Amino acid sequence: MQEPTVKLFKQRLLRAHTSLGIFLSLFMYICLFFGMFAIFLPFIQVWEKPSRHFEVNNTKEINYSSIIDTVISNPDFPKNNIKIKLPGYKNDPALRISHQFIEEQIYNPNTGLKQENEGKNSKLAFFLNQMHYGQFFSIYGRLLFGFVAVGVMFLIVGGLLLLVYIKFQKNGKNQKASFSKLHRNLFILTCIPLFLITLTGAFMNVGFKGAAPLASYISKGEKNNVFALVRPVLMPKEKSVKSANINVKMLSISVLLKKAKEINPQLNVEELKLINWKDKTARVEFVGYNPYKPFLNGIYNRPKIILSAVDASVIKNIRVLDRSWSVLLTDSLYFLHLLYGVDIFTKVFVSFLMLLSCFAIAFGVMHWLEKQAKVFDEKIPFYHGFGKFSLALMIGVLPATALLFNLQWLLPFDMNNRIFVQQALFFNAWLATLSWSFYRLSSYKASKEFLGLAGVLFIIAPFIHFISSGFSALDLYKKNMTSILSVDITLFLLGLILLIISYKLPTTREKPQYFWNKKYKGLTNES
Amino acid sequence: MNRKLIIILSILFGPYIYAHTLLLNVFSNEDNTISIEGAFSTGQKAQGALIILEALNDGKVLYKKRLPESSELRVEIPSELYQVVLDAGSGHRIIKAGIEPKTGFKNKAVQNKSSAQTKEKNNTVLITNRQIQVAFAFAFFLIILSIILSSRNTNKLIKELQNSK
Repeated sequence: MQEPTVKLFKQRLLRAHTSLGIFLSLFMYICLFFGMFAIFLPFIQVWEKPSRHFEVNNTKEINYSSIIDTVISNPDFPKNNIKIKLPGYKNDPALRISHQFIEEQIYNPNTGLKQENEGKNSKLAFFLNQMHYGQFFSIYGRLLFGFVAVGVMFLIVGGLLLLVYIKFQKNGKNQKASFSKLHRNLFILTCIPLFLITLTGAFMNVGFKGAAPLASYISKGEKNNVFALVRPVLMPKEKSVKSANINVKMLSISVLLKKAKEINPQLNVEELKLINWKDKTARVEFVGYNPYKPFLNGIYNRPKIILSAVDASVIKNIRVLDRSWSVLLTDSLYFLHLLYGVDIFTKVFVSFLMLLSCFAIAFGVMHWLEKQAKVFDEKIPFYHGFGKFSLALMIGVLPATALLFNLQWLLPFDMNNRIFVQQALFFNAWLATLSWSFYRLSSYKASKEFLGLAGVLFIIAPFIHFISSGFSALDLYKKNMTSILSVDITLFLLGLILLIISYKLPTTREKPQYFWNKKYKGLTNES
Repeated sequence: MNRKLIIILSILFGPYIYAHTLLLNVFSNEDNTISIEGAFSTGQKAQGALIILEALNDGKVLYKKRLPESSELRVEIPSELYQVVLDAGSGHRIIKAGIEPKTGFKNKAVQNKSSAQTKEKNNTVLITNRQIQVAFAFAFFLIILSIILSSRNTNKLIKELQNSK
């Protein structure tokens, strides 16, 4: 490229990166912030429900038959397409029995006792996940977040090009330079995983829901919903088996489960589906996950074994690699985003990378705000509408989320409209931080207060949980309820970290460079 | 219609067009029996869904059975006022008024009771509406407050800036 063209390209790229970055930053921050909670969704959804608070024993030694057989022997219970989720599936310690037309029944697998299902009255993890991908605002939020993800991919590629074309100052001595450096360096660290996560996120949000015109085009106007076209490939339905209307004695679930494990020892059976139960044509589908072939199964590709419930003969055995390449590809794409079947350390590592990305976004916004602040030349305190809005959105979300966790165990579970009250208080608390941001002239002071408040609320949350649930930290540890205890510990530590940051954070804009860039202590903003 | 508009509308509402709604059909066979049919709007059968015939005066269950493979049941019409309920689980119920037998219902005075039940339901809706109103009013107040505070502080800073010149 010729010199003036390169210069023009660099200028335009930088301007496009800045304007699009400022526009998308807040959406992306929200997406990543709630995404960090979504990573730990299986843990939070156990923590939030009293019905999951029971001693956890070795699930391999549990006799499921005694529980399942009792339930499905009830003459009022449907006899076809009964779904059973075994303990441990998605970190849930309960045994769950459901059917399309009955409410899910929850059982303590150790005692066989039926637990009271909170059902629609406890949706904390569900809500946090919905906030992550925009589903809370229905299809519109989902599409918006999907297009934000597309924009973020442009920002990542554009940002990398800027690093190649522009020589940024490495040793800037003012705040603006420090924020710019932090924004660049943090994104250099996280850009590859963030790109993959954003790409798969865009695929999930826009790929299916936004492909209506494409679906209409390829099906010659027959279908608008692309999922209706891909469903037969991704989730093929087993042909329905006609009942023979001859009652036959069934083999016990334990015997059938043992047989399934013999056929495919690599399969971690997670779900069972009982078809035409007690009939001569009865069969059981054992659906699970093969941890020896990660990436390729777990979402749409679910290996399964179908056995006759009468004589345990094998009807079908579908392994991971038996499915078509398109299903394997879809599962690997989803794996990159949903981290299905990965261990806790990988989850913590990915959430740490997402935390760094949140910081990188925040530093990018602060860098832009510092540029705006320069106009006022320290004559008056810097007071910018976008700055206040960003403050409420990025830092204000912390006390609001902490309140959400507190309300989970403060509000009675039988309360009328419990979920509405909890979510309304969350959004109003978040909005209150906006009012407070505008009330305070100094954004640093407001941040300090928000962080302090969030710290206190996050620290209180586990104690409210201990008192309301009747399980102390020691009880949780002794009864092997480590999933629940780990959430309490994480909340407490998060609160503690926020309190420390709040304590250390300066209260005025003049002081922050000592906080962000101690090396240049004593220098003014404009030096 | 404009082609662009069709594309935009199909993006926005496309996913809703293919909603999976459960339907309940009740019709008289003209021989003092009714046929009850449950199916999804997509044509899929609702095998396993629970059909209940509930008396309107005391809520007594007059008949209860899950839909068979054919997704259709033939039931004798009760002599008292009743309603047909399709219980799809998780509190999702579809209710239709029961068809009268040829000889008519025995006791029609019970309709008042069912209106009392409706009143109770209306009260619950009223509470929900009030909660929604309070939540939105408070959110609106906070937005207005933010604008007022912003304007107050901006004016204060402009004055300060003018004084410093």
